[in-house]
Amino acid sequence: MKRPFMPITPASEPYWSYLQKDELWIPRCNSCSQLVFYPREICPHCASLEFTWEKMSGRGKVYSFTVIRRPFLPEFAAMSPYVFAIIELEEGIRMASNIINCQPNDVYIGQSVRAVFEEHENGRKLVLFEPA
Amino acid sequence: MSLRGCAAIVGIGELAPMVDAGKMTTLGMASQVTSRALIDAGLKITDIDGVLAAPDTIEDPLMWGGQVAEYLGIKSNYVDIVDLGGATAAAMVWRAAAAIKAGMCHTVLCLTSNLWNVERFYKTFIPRLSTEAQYELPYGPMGANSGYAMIAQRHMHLYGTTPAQLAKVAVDQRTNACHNPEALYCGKPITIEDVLNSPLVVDPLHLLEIVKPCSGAAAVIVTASVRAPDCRSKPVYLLGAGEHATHSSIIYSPDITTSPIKQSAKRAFAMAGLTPGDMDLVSLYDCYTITVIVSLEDAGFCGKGEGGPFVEETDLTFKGKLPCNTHGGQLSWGQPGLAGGMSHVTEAVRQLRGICGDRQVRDARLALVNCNGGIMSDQATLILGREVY
Repeated sequence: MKRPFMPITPASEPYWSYLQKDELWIPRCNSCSQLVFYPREICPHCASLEFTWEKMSGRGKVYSFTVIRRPFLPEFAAMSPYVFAIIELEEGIRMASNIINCQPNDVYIGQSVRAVFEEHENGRKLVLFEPA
Repeated sequence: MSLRGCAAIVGIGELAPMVDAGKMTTLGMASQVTSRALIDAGLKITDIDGVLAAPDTIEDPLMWGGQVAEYLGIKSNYVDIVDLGGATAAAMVWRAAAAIKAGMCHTVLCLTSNLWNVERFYKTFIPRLSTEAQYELPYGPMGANSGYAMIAQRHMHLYGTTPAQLAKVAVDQRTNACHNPEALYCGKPITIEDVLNSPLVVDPLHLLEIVKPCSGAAAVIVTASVRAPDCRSKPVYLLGAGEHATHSSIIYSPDITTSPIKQSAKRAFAMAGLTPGDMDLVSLYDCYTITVIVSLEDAGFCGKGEGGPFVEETDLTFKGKLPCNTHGGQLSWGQPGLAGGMSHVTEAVRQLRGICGDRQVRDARLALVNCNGGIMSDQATLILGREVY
């Protein structure tokens, strides 16, 4: 399906490049050692500017979710109803995603999920999650 | 230094929310509410020397504050835009008071005026998003709806909050709206069953738990307390103010069921030297039912996680133990853009003046106003009083 992607920024370039290889990498601050999501040019914990990218396991849990039944964006009409969720990775950071390969009614908070990588119309890959 | 008692709201002007604004313009609506607020205060346009304007939420005009001031004929010593979404209104009031206290100006017009146009909004929506939305937009969020839905979902999971408890907020506010002829849903009472039988839009939120966007405008005039007694209407004093934010997108909130109201309300109460128990009414930003429950918890009216049972047991109507959003709230009065946030200020002022007629809270002396921007993001809390207690 066609999804609305936004332009890649200098800080996000590694994130999207790793996704093209079916890998989820997140920057870790060289100074305070905290993982930082979303990737940006300054550490929001300590204002340091240096990071080292680290590969994530792709395992996580559903932190919260909703079932979207009336999407705003026309691209999502065919896919609705679908699950929009906050995933907490086992490494500790949280990110937005969709939970796929299950019925929306079967999703629950605390559910174990794992990353899956899906290629879209424009060739860009996206990390989604499915029940583990 | 504190803002306690330094300034007062002496004039309010408001348009009833409009589903169809016809040929109205943003500056035209601003003109109407400015005129009304000046008449209410017994002031002339030349008495105003400061302007705080809310942004135009659909267009993106350049140097909007100056355009507004010029249009209205204000020669300003202080002009600015306050761009905090739903928190804008309350944030303007304390900024006005701070500028007055600092001696930069003496009388500030706080102005919100927004036209709702769904096609124009969506045409400009994506281009105006932060580049950081690249991590959310491809997943198809539903704007604020999906954010508040996830807050509600987790609140239910952690604390056992029920759909019926959430619905009770909408029902009590509708009762209030039925005593306010200016509310969009005046004359249309609802029951908990009606709310639960309305379509699920974003689980667990139903249609009747979500605000209706519309058009409208509101203005309030804030002046130095020493000038307030010379105004035509009864002044309402600013006793406390607080503001706090921890995130912009809800995805990155430290804890989605606890809002920055915890800090903004704490700061406002500390400045006022008052507690939640002292409040005669509350005026809480209510874009969704869950917003009210989280706000009551974080402002200290009940414990964390107790908001569900609290609203179930507490009559939130104007006749009740804790009157909340006596104008109907944005859920039942309407959400005319950023003037929706201002409605929480104007209603508190009307209650404290004692001019609410059928829906007047008996002997209302003190009110808490909380305005919420984004997805429980920017929070601005005010404590307002009939006198400087």
